[in-house]
Amino acid sequence: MNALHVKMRRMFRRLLVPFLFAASCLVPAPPASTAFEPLPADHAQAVASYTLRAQLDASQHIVRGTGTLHWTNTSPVEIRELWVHLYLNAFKNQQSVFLREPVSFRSDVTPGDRGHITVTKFAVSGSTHNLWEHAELRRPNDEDETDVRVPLPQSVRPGDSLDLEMAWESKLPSVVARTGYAGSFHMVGQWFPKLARLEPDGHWAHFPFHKLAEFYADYGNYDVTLDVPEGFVVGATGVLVDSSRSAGRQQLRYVQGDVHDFAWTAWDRFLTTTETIHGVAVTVLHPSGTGFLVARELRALRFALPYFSSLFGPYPYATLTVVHPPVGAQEAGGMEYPTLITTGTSWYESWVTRNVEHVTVHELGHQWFYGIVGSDETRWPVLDEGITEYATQRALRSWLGPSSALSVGAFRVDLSSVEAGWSHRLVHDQPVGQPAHAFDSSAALSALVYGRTAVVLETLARVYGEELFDRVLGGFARAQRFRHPCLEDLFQAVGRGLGVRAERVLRTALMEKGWVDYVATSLSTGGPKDGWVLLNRRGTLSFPVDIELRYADGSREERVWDGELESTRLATRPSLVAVVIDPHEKVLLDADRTNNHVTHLGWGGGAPRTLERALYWAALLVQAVTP
Amino acid sequence: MKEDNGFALVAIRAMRARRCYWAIGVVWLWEVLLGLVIAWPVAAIVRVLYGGHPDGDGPLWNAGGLPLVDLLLRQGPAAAGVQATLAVVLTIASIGGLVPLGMLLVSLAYGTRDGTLLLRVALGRSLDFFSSLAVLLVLVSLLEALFLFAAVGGGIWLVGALIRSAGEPWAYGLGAVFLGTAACLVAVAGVVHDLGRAAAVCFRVGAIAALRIGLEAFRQSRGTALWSWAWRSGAGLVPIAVGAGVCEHLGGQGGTALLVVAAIHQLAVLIRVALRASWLSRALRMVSALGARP
Repeated sequence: MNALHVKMRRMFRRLLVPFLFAASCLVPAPPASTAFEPLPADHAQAVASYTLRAQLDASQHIVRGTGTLHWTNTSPVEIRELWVHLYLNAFKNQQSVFLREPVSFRSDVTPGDRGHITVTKFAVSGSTHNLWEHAELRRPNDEDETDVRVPLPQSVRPGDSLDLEMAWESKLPSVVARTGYAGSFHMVGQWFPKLARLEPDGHWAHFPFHKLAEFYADYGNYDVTLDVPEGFVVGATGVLVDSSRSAGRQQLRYVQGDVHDFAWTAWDRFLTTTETIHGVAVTVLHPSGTGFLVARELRALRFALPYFSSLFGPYPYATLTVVHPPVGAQEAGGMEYPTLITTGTSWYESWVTRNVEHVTVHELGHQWFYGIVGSDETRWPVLDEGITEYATQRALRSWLGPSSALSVGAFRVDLSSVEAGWSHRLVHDQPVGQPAHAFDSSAALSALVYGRTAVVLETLARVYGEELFDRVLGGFARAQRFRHPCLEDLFQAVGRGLGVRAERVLRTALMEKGWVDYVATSLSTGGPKDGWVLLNRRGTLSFPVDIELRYADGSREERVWDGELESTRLATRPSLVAVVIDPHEKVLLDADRTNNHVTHLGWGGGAPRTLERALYWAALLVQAVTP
Repeated sequence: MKEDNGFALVAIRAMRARRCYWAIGVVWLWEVLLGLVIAWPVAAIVRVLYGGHPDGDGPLWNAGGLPLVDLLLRQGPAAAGVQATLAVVLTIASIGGLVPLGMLLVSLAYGTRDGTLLLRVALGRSLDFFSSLAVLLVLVSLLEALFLFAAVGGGIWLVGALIRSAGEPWAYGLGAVFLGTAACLVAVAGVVHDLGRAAAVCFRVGAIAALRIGLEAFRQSRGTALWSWAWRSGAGLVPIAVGAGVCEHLGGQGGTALLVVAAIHQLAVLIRVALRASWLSRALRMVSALGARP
């Protein structure tokens, strides 16, 4: 390669890169929909942009990185310090916040092989002064090194930018909590010095890496060149724009705009399956023998990608990489990064559950609620995990019908039913809308943030109408596209769309452990006179609720009780014999459905079907154990 | 083998299930009664919670499963009671079941001069064989448990050893082959067990001698024995599948539909008892054909 060639190539790259950033953000044609306002922003404001180069030592599981960070002070105040997250230091020693927090997370949170990140250079471009020498790695009496304060020699005025040069070395842990290695498989997430997000009021949203929490950062453009051994298959955030090979290694360059993180994976045994779905180049990286799981993942994406694009605004990126981790690396599964998600379900489990579809659709949903709507995952996990789980159950029900969780013979169980039952159990323990690290356990976080939020939103959708609710939540997603909303923004969006009462319900449900239980207390048939039914509402939430009235002549009547008061005596026609509250199962939040009915003596239906089925299956069971 | 009261082994060709329909009915009744002991508390719980609903327990069967999941998750203590009942009943079924089994074998193998055999007589005679059948049950169950334990342990080891190098489908596939092979061995043990039971009833011998005769009968015609057992076992799945399909279509919340569903379900249970009786009669004929005496 001669000098002219190199010069021309550099020039070509200079011209090409901006074009590719724009191309990587190409918006596929959205489905025809006139229900929403035009998108307020097609691109994010590039606040923190990284140009990185990373070399993977696959045998030592070390990533050596260099690069630059271009950051702009978007706040109205002068900034005198930076906060940098070194998430991998969560696995450095037992004194990290992550490892010393006494809560469980997934299966195993203590990696067999430790991981850490060591920054060797952090300097303003053009300066030889290494700012890292003055960095405050720890707080007093705290050994955690995931949240670092870096004083600046000169303050950065509002609107001014800063270019920083970085060099670091990341030792990956054995796979744990979304990142690490297993054999030659490498899932490389949270691997570089990551600038915290500067909030509009000029304070840094920084935090140590908590076990139950995730991440938060500003949007920017990422230009990352990965140097890995030849033979490794790589998947990464963004579009592959250049690749070359030399001396037994390969260099792959990925670019992506409008994102707030960059993750990648490398394994020498990945198989690749590609497909264009809804204008997006989807690449599935998977181990051998998982073809049928990949087929199911692709089927899920074929439905969910256009579905979410229609509901929440178009998927704005040209690529999506789906990583199916190999056996032994399941801890890397079920995670979202910009344009890259990880799935994973065991081979045998996939035969009886819809987990593979659930995980795939959930992680895809995060492309909107986390990726495109860039909320603070640590402070308001409701906004990413909660809304995503709602979106997931909604998508799965739209796709698979009422058997979105399980379908065995006559048993068809919807995911929302499972989440309703699951989340009821912990609703009085802790509020839903609190920071992730405030939860007592991952079980509480899962039941409340994922399950309860999904059930609250599903109840609002059913009570106020799915079409209207779609417009509200879709409007929220579009209005907050490439922004950083807080929980208050969601409340206000619901208030604007559904009214003050719905907003109050949502606040109470998420912030005050709100609950509700409708009770059909008693009825009077009335005889020749008018009848009545006494209805009660327990708890702190209230919804309008359907009331079904049944009369002795077989006729039925449906009314709506506004549910504002704690009780009401509803006057009815004569010969009232039965009353059912919420017959169409709209109020999933109802804490006890077994008290939703009341009948006049002799008008109950008994339990004949249960007895018949139970007798049959018990007899078969007896046959199985009878000698 | 003849006795003064005329109670004697029937001719080999007469050892047929169709000759003993009433004994088949008694076994079916036994299974249904035990089933009822399990099912009644379940239905009682549901009746308390949903019996007053105008549609009864109908909402529990609605697509989507919201009331069903709600009920299952909030009935933890009650479920513990049902589980305890289940454990007791299944224990009774596995040990006490030797009595109706013995009665069925006696009915298949024996008759009186006038060709009739009273239920009371068959039941009484079955108690004579209870100890032999019980010892056989313990011995063969231990053997089967050993097979299964080794198979499950070996399968888990095999999967663990292969899963990273060979991948999940191959590892689990080989594990399944391993487990399937062990299941076949358990099935063979079960066939020999039934032949031993037949020998114990035919020749009134102890468990060890009966097992020896059962093994000999199996050795002499293993293909016939396995096929005779296998096709009846396979056929026993058909009424379950047909019943499931029909019942899913009918639903059967009440009235005629519920009666039809119940009839189909109980017919399925009865057919399975009849197929079991048919296999046991085949086992009796195979053992009797040996013409052996201990």
